Parts: sequence; C-alpha cells; structure tokens
Amino acid sequence: MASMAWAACFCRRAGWALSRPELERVARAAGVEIRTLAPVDHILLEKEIATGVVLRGGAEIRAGLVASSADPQTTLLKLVQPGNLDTEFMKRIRHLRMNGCVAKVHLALDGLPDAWKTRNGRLVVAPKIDYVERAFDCAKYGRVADKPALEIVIPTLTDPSLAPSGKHVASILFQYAPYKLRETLPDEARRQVLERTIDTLDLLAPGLRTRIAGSEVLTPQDLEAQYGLAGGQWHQGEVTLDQMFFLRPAGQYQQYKMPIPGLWLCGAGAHPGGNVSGAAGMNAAREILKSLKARRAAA
Amino acid sequence: MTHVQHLRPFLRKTPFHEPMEALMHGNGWIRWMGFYSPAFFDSVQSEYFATRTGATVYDVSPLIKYSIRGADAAKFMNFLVTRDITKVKPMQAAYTAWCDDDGKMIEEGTIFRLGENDFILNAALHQLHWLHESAYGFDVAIEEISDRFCGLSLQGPTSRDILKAMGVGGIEALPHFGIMETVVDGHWMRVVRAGFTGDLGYELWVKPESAAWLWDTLFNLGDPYKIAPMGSQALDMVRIEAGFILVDADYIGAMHAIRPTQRESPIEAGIGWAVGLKKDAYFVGKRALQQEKAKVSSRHILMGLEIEGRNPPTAPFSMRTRRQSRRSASPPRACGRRS
Repeated sequence: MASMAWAACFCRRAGWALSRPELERVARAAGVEIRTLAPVDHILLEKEIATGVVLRGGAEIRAGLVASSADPQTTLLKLVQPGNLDTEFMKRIRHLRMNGCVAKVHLALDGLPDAWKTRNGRLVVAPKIDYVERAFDCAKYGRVADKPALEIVIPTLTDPSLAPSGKHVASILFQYAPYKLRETLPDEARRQVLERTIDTLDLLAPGLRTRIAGSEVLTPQDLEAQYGLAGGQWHQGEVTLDQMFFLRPAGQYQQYKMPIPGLWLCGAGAHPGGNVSGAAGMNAAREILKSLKARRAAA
Repeated sequence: MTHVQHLRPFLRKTPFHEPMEALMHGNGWIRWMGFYSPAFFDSVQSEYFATRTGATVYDVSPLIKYSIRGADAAKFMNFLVTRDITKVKPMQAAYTAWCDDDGKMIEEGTIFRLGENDFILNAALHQLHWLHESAYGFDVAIEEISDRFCGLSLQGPTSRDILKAMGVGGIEALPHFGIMETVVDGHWMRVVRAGFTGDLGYELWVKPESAAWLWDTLFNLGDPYKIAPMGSQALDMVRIEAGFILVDADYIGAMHAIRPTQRESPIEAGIGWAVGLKKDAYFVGKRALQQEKAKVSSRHILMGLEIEGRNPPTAPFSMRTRRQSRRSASPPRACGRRS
C-alpha cells in the first residue's frame, strides 16, 4: 500500500455557477412553480402528444410540453405507458446498460488527518490499473470490491462554510459496488462499502477512523430507491463508447426530442451525459426554445 | 421441383400429406416453412379452373399461428397492427399489416378475434421474436400454436354447398371474414370465411387428429361439386387475379430486407386502406406512416395491371412501371375477374 499513488487536483470554490438556493430564487423570479415530493405516475398523452403529467395522487398537471430529467428508462419505459413508442426504439431504451456500480460515501469529520491537510480538495486512490481491475472483478461477480478505488473530494477545504468551523465533510465515490449483488444482502453491502472505505483511507491517512463523526452510504440500490435512478446508475446510463455524448440516450435521439411530440429529455441520460454539469438541461432548454420558436413561426 | 430433394430428411409432413401425395401426379412438392407443400397436383390450369368453377382445397397447415391472450390482448393487438382492432368484433377475422418503427411492412396476414382478449395471428413468416419485443409492458401471453391445428382452404363457388352438405349448420349466415366454431361428426372445426383466391371460400381448421376425417369427408362429398386439390402454382394465379399480395414475392418483409430501401410501407405495397391512421391509439410505425402520407413521400404504389395478350410481360411493361413484382397469365375465361 506504500506504493499507492495519490492524485490530487484543485477543487474550485463554488464549482457550480449557481448554487441550489440561487437557482431556485432565479427560477421562481421567472415565474417557475416548483413542487417537491410530487412523484409523477405517468406522462399524460392526448392524441399521441405529451400534454402533461399525472401525479401519483391522481392530480393532473397540464402543459404545452413535458421535459423529463428522469433517466431515459424511467421516462420512456415507466412514465410513458405501454403502446406509445415503437418496438425497436423501446428495445434500444430497454437495452441501455444502466447497472450502477458506484456507491457514494459521505463522511462528517471532526478534523482532517495530517496527511490530508496539505491536499487541495480532491484525492484519488487508484495506484495501478491492476488495482482498479481487481476492484472491478469483485463487482463483475456480484460482490462489493474488497479493495476499492476511491475518489475523495473534501469541499470544506475550499469552502469552509459547508461545515461548522474546524469540521470537514468528505464526499467519496466508491468503485465498485454492483447494483446486481449475487449473494450479499443490500444492508450487508452498505456496511461493507463503509468499512472498506474507512479501512482503505485509514491506511493512507492514519487517524481518519477516529475523526469520523457521522457517515452516510448510498449504494446503487439506494440511488435507485431514493433518487429514482434506474439501475442505480448515477450517470443515468453507463458512459461507455456506445452510450456516450451524441449516442445518449440512443443514436438519432440525441437532440433531447423524444419520438412522442411534446416530450423532451433534459437529464444526464441525454447528451452530453453524467456529472452535475447542467449541460444536458441547458442544451435541452435551448432546443425546446428553438422548437417553440419554429412552431410559433409556422402558426 | 427437385430442390426439396436434399431437404427430405428435414422437411415435415402436414397431417394432409398422405392423401395429397396419393393425388399428386409427379413430384410436385416444394417446401414451405419447413413442410412439404404441393406446388401442383395435376395441371396448373385444371386446378385454376377448379377454383374458379367448382372448389379446391389447399393445405394451409404450414401457416404460422400465434395465440395472443391476456388482459391487455386487445390493446396490444391494436398497437401491433395497422388496422383498427376496436372495429373487429369477437368471432371476426381481419386482414391487416404490421410494420416496423419506420412504418415499413414486416408482413401482412389475417387475425382472428375469438374473444374480447383472445386473438390468433396468422403469419407466413416467424414473428414470435417481434411479438415478444412489441409486447413489452402489456399483460399478454403469446404462444406459437402452429402445431395445434391443421387447415385446408376450401375455395370456389361450390365451397358453401360442400360445407352445407357436410352438415355445417349456419354456414349460409357466415359473413365475409366471419368465424364460427362447430362440431361435425364429433370433430371440432373452426370455419373462417376467408381465403387467398378472391372467390367464395372458407378456411377450415381442425385438430391434427381430425385431418384424415376432414380430407375424406370433403372429397367424398365433393364429387358433384367438382372438388379438386390445388397447389401453390395455381394459387399464385388466382391470388394475383384477386390482387392479393405475398410477402417476399410482391414486397420484401422488413426483417428480410438486406438494405433499408428494399423495405416498403403498406401504402407503397398497395394496401394503404388497411392502415388505420385515424384510429384512436398509437401503433408501431404510425408516426412514420403519418409522415409518409403528409409528405406524400411514398416512392411507388403497387398495383395490378391487366394486359391483353397471350403471354405475361417478361420485363417492366411501360416506362412508368418501375418494378414488376409478380406476373401471371390469366386463362381467358377468368380474365379481368376481380372479387
């Protein structure tokens, strides 16, 4: 483990142009109504055009168009009721590889171990390609990685306001914890993820274990249950050669416009893909505006 | 018809094989969906005239049949095919096409609606994979039931009289595309007033164990009604006269096309009337077909041409005919006949 390499890069202060409260404020100022805890049961279709959504309680919300930031499988296979999309298109969406294999670990730390004090916010534990390969082998056979590859971000190093004074938070991506577990029970998997994260980090940053004040683990199953991500895939679909950029969610459908008129995708399952960049949403909004303009011009 | 010789160990015999072979002059066997199927029995012309003036039987057992049942069967069928299934009542049959996403025809055939949510799809090509793919999200059970029934297509002006003589009660009242199920001499039989000849005719479906009974009964009764067996060569003549199209002959099934431009929409294949663009439900390929209609982008429309003369044309006939799918000589007595 001594040979374990550390990689670090600068974690920018306020990495997003707008924080969530700011985004909310701007949206409300523009007349946007935001409803939370209002899960959609299905997308309302009238004369084969998307005209709104029906909430689980049965309430209908009508709209000129529907833009879904849910993943492509949830949007097209669950929210769109059967019999509204062509067979081969459905097959392509059904066959998207959506198996998550990354778990998220959040740690609240009473203080930083000495080894981390000189770092600038991001650390990667992936000493060798073989190490990552072995970690993936476990997931391949339905087990949580014995020795995980980790990506650790300590946002409090660049923005101390995120935690009480002198305290820190660490946000860790754990690779690999498979969505499809072969023998391990989900609760056991969650425990293994936390323990193996701490074991790995404690070797590299001695004393870390004693500084943990609180923790949260989100396995792919949790990501699916809590955030509605099909397969617990945090990018809304694996980012592999045949599913990346202009092939999201499927070739010919990368322009956010889905086959059902009035239905758009605007989440990470669309071009350009995952990570919290907002690019898919921005591009989708641009395309939607363009389409509305064209519709108005034609009318 | 020597090309079945090397397939002898593999080809299956339908339950009507033995009586058909006894009536066959020469080796008239060809293969159809893995079965021996008759191309001719005696002379093609005599079989043709028997259909047009008396009655013929053609073994349709190799047709592939799928049972589609379940709570969503009606909804699924309406999604699968181009016709509006809500207009097809139980115990009615309907001719329809089914298409891929691009509105190109995979095949066309008849569906039997036996109950509110009980259908049989008849196809010339295997469709199980497509049916399963399309049924995602629907509560339906799809099963191939080809071997459970065998059938004879009894076609010709005397076909109704033959069935009456057989004791099929109520056959006079059976409308075009009507279905009835009956028991004759203790044998269950499904009678569908449909056919591939354009003449009066019925498809008679029985269980395989009743095949010998059906054949013998028809041929014992059929003498005064000029009954004869028919092969596919004569069938090709009568179906072309009637304007019925055939997959992989008049159009390439979308799943068989080796390049996308080979595929044809039902509008291009001349059966645009069977496309329910106004039906109140989406069906596979509907958006593409709506576009085709709105943009008038059909590349051609298959039509039947009747040309006077002794021989069928051997090449595209006029400068405005792009492609000729099938040609057939119509014997003089039947020339111009359409029904």
